[in-house]
Amino acid sequence: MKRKLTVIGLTILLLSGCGVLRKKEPKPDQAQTVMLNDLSTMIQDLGSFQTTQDDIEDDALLDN
Amino acid sequence: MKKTTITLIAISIFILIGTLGVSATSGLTSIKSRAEAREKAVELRVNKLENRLIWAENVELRTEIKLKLIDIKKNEIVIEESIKTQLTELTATLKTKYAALKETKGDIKTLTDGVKALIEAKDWVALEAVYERIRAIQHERNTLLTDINELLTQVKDLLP
Repeated sequence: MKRKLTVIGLTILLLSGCGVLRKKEPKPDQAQTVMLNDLSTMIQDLGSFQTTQDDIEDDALLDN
Repeated sequence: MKKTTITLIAISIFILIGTLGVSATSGLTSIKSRAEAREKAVELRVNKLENRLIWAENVELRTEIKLKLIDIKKNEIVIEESIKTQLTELTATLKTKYAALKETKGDIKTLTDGVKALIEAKDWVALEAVYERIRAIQHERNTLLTDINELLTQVKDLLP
């Protein structure tokens, strides 16, 4: 009986070490990846708009 | 003879006064128009500065979001469903606002191209009209950018 328990115990230990019994961490799903990529693109687009944004030049302002 | 001379002098004075009067009125109108254009120019400068301030806030928000996105990707963080839904909605609204912002691209440059010629020609009335159109674009941009910054703040607060 004692040996049986030892075998079971060792098996559980071995399996959990191999990751069979280890609880798997959830991974980000496809929808999350798509959403975050969208957000990332939006952030980049805003950056490029900022650098190329046109505005009135100082020498075209009459209050100079 | 004397009578004719006096009549001629009187008519000449009358015409002269009339001409001077018209010229003075036109001069005053010109000064007034120039002052109005100047006032509008000050407004444009203020809007330009405001735009820079809004962009500065935008840069800060974008940087914070970027760092969070890197962290989420690196550590494979799973975002809660309810938050994911909110973020998707916010991103969609951001896209709409950005599309409207993009629509204004180049509009100010196009209008500015003719401004210098108007200043040289001292066409203050036309200049003020162009300034007003530029002001409207600046105002639209600043409003859209303020909305975008509000949306980005919400995104930043929602991201884990």
